[in-house]
Amino acid sequence: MSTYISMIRVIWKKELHNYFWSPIAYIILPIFLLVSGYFFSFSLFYLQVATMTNAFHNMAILLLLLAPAITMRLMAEENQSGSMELLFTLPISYGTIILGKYLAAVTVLIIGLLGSLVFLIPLFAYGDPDPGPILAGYLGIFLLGSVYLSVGIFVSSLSKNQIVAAVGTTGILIIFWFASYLDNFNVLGNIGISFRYISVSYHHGEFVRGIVPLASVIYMISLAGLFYALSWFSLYRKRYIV
Amino acid sequence: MINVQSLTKKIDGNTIVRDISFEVNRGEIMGFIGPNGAGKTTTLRMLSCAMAPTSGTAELAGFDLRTQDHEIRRILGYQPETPPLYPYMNVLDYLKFMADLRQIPSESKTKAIDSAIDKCKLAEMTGREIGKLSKGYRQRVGLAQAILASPKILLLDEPTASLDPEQINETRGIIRNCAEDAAVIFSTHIMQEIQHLCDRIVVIKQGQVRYKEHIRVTRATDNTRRHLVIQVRGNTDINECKIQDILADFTQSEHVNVDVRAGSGSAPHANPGETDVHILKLYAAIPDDDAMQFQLLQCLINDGIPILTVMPRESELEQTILHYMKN
Repeated sequence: MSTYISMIRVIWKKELHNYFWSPIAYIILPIFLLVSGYFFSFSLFYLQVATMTNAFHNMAILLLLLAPAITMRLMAEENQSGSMELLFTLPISYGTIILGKYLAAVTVLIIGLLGSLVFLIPLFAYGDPDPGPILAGYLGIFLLGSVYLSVGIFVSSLSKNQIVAAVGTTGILIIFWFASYLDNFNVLGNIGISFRYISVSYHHGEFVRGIVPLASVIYMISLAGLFYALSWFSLYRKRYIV
Repeated sequence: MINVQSLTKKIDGNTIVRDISFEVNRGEIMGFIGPNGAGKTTTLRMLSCAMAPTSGTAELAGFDLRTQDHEIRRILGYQPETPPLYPYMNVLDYLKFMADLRQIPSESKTKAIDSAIDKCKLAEMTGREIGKLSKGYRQRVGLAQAILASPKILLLDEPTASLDPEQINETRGIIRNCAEDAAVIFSTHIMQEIQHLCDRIVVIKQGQVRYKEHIRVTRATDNTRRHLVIQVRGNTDINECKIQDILADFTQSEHVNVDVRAGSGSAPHANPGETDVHILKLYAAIPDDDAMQFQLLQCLINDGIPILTVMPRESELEQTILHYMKN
């Protein structure tokens, strides 16, 4: 077990180094903070609403575009250069490779979210917000981002082309985000309601409202787990079928 | 050490490697030669556990390829044809990363890295970003990562491609050095590599083994001797025994060795009515001396042995390989 963890750590460290060696982190993190900061400031100073509700909603939309940029190279680059083939010849498992890379992407997400804590300074300075919904909102955006990154790793594992990986991930995330909108089509009846429950926007909305439903937590973790399993199968398939 | 049994790989319904079998012992270097697309890389990928075989199996250091691949990965060094390196890492960081993934214990990690750097002559490049290295140096970094953990099985896919002559010579030295305690397979399409380095040869074409030979006698390490192949026209009178008798005085010297074997193919210039005409091949190892070669040939001519060709052993091997690669 300790070998498994230390191998994950080795890959995590290498990927994190790559994020900060290349311009990726230096582009994605400022964009995330500047754009979400703009919407937060607009809400606080213009609309005079001293909550993080709008900020969390906008962060979720923003991550729809930024998460694919974080994950697009993780697997596609290795597929393209052939280093994935070399990794398969080393005494490490597929799960180690995927988790190491995934945790590096999650670390970038956490750094972005930690950066957004500066929003709380004017929020508490100008208003008297309830900390509960803020904590729930941060948990929600963290879980949502983790799902996005898991989807991104899976799509990246299928491709040798980073652009294809990014566009493919965005496409899948948009489907998961807008699935709840099918609920509005009355003709679909109960089927429309079930689309609401598989939509990440519905579950994220629960956190933004300040509640932490167990079902939504389990849903987010399960969805991230599902795409982890699909990524694992994608690597397994490369060795056994191709 | 490596025992391959009927290994087959099909991709999208096409058979890339068909039923190949060969073996390599510890301390041996096997040259895997064949034209482009022959199935060399696919075979090495299967043996390196990067790709699972469709059928057949192989035993590497006593571990079964199909069921004990995790154990095989621990004792394996593999260099793909184009070393897949991370261009943003410097050489030392890359080797540290690979040493960690190869699970080299921390107490021996520095020693293993230093040894690989020393063997591959990378000392001046350790701080350089891999993306800024020349092709030759990248190839060396690829080789360094393969030999990091002193592997028992070393698989090298065209390790000398894109190296200059001096680097090729150094790489041969590294491979010979590694082979002292390991079984090495390396694929190439360069004939000289086989002649200078290999103990065994497997010629592969269209996914099938066409020729296998144990060729240690031709190793260029024995460069104090001249290895010749003399083809003579044999018949009922001129046979292996007669030639051994003719050369009896000559071969009494411990420095001369002549092995007579029946060659393949029919002999040209058969006289009318002459039957049982065939080729005899004399594999001679003599001191590297023109006078000695002249004496040997004179001895055969004086006894009326019709000599068809005289060529260095390397050329004969080259012709054999070309024959099996073409046909």
